Amino acid sequence: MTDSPVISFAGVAKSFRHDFSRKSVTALSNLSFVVGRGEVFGIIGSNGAGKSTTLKILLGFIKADGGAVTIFGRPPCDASVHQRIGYLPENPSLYENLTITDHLRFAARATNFSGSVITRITEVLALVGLDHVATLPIRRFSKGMTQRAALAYALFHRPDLLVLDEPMSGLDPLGRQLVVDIIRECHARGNTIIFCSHILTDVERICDRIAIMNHGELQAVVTPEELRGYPIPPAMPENTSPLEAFFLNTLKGKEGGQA
Amino acid sequence: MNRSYPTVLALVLATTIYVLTIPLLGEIQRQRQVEEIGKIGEIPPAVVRALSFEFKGVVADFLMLRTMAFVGERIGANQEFIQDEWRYLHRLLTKITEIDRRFWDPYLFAETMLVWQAGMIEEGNQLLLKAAEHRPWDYQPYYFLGFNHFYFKKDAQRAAPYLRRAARIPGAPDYLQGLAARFSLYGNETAAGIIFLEDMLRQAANPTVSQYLAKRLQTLKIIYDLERKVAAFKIAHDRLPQSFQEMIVAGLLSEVPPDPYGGEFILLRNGRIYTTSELIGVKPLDKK
Amino acid sequence: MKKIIAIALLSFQEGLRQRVLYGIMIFALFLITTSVLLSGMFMRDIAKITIDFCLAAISAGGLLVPFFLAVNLLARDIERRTIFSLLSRAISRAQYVLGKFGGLVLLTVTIVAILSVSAAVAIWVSKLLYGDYFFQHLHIPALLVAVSIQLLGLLVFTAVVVLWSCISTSSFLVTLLAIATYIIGHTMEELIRFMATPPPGVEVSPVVQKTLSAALYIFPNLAAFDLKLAAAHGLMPSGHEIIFLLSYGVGYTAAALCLAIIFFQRRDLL
Repeated sequence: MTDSPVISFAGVAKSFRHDFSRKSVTALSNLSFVVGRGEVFGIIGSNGAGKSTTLKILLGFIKADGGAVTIFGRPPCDASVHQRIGYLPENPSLYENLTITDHLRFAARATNFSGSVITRITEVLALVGLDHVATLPIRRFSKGMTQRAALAYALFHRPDLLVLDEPMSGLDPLGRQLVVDIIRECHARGNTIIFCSHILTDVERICDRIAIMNHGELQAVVTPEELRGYPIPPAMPENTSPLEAFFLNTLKGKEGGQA
Repeated sequence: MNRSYPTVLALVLATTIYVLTIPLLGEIQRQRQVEEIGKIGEIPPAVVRALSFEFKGVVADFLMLRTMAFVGERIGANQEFIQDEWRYLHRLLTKITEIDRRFWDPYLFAETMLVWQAGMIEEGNQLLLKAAEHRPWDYQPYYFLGFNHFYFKKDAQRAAPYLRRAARIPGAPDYLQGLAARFSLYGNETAAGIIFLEDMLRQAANPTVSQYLAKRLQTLKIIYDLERKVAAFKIAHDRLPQSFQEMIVAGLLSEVPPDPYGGEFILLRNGRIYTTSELIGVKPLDKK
Repeated sequence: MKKIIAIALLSFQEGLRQRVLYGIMIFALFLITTSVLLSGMFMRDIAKITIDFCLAAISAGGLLVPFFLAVNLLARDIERRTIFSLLSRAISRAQYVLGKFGGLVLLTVTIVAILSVSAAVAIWVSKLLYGDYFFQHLHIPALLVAVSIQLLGLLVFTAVVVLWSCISTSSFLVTLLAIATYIIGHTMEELIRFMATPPPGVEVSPVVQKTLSAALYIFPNLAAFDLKLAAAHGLMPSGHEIIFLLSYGVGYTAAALCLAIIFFQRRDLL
């Protein structure tokens, strides 16, 4: 966490203008944070808080109106940094009529993958538990299977940075555990992971730091250690987790900043 | 009980209804076609060309097919054309040749129908001149032009250059050169007509048209035969016969042959043969 | 370049698996039978009719690509988020657009090739059936040139549709624009010729004239790539005509694609 950060957002702002109307909607305002090497950084927030937008700006799919974004010290639109990134989009979808193997072969071709492609394909498919459907077209896949396939596609080229948008959505408990395991494994290997999620318990389990976003603004960044022993207000049910309590309180605006 | 039973029943019923209406629809469409054939001709050629996009060839083919179907049906039903319909036909053929200027079928059709049937010789010749311009590799436009001038307009002087031009084009049959000479030498329209019809018959693919041409050819051959016998009578008696009866008496003829068109052959005072049936193409001969 | 080819192959594969080719095969079979049967109904220009139908079918088959596949090229990719899977793979937007266009080119070439083979079969059967006499003016090189130029025209049109789809996300709007482009591209020349020598009594206002000449430089002149009629009559275009068409087609395609890339690079992908 000491050397140059993998991701840095400094005062990033973005607003969307809908076609034919002058009204613009602010998606992000003055967003600043850094993610260091080897960190697992989770972003949580209510719907429409700007989580996905943040990740898309990071990958260069959306251009920020103001502020500076760097990834591995480069601007996000630089295609060469993508070589080191594995991205799992929200509700991912792959080409329906192609098989997961076709996709992985393409991934190998597009990222100049060195080494045995076939070995790597078998390896990745085994990792996400799709080795038995390697030759099935994607349209036959269930939502959870597609999610796993997209994960395999993101992991294929052994990226240094994983960007995961809602990685647990649509997965059964087994699948969720699988994602948690994969994130931990990558973490252990020293990779950096940034992801956003709704499922607070998972976030709590695996993150080094957690950012809470609301209405396009960063409300707080906490570590699980800081959360330990966070007082659960009496109004909340007993089994509420500290993160949940903190999150709800932050959104309500009762508490902000550092806990 | 099969649950799909009502659906099957409905299917049978519906199918019966639509199958029964098919012949009626055909009748309606036939009537509509008669009206439409005039209307298609009214659209300006530039518009038709523009609206055909890159499918000009196919559009021309389709229009030609409709035209031929329309005319073929009339011939098949032995129905007379009215003057307006001939004009529609002319406009339609002009249109088709505007969409695809090198398409030979409409020109040929104009020659067989407009010139031979309707006597629209000027119109036919105009189309042929257009054909000659756009089909420089083809001897037929000049050949037909020459024939029309000679046979219908009695203008051997203008016919000969056309025939010579036709003969010069590669691929022209050898007899053309001779024909040009013969046309101007003998001036026998009937013989020229026979040669011409035989040539047309060779090219006709449509059975209705070839049947039609064959009948015409047969009639012309009979007339030609009669004319030759009249000539033989003249050589023998140094005068023209007054009637067919005279020729039968002279042993040149066993009987007056029947006209395939159902009319009656008449020997004119100038030695020419005339028929009371509507054999167009012969009629102009007696208009002198 | 390697990445462009990778995308081209991927979208080509995806196109193939959409059973596009099955449809084309059935269409080709239909083409052979129709053209052979129809040409028999005519008197004289049987070869011309057969070739008319075959070349028209090749055009129609090729037009399926711009009208049905190129139209929702980007819209579909964005809607279904498949674009993220591609762009997150170290692929620049320029590579993406070029790769997608490459995939469409491959599909078009395949379709045109299949239809050309079946057209050859149709011509052969027709010749066998109706006799060599009607096929004296059959000019194979002219046909091949016509089909190749046709293909070039299809690629020009496809490039324009790609440009439209990079400007608008709505596949409905892109379809409308594609239809408009096609109509303008095929009528423009006719209109300009009409204006050059208007029939007496018709006056063309200078505004209309200016607009049309502007359209000539903006929209692709698709009619210029239509050599079907001449080829059906066995006429070969001249060498410099082919060179002009090639330069016009390649230049226009490149310009349209560059513009498409510029628009696409400026777009936010939601």
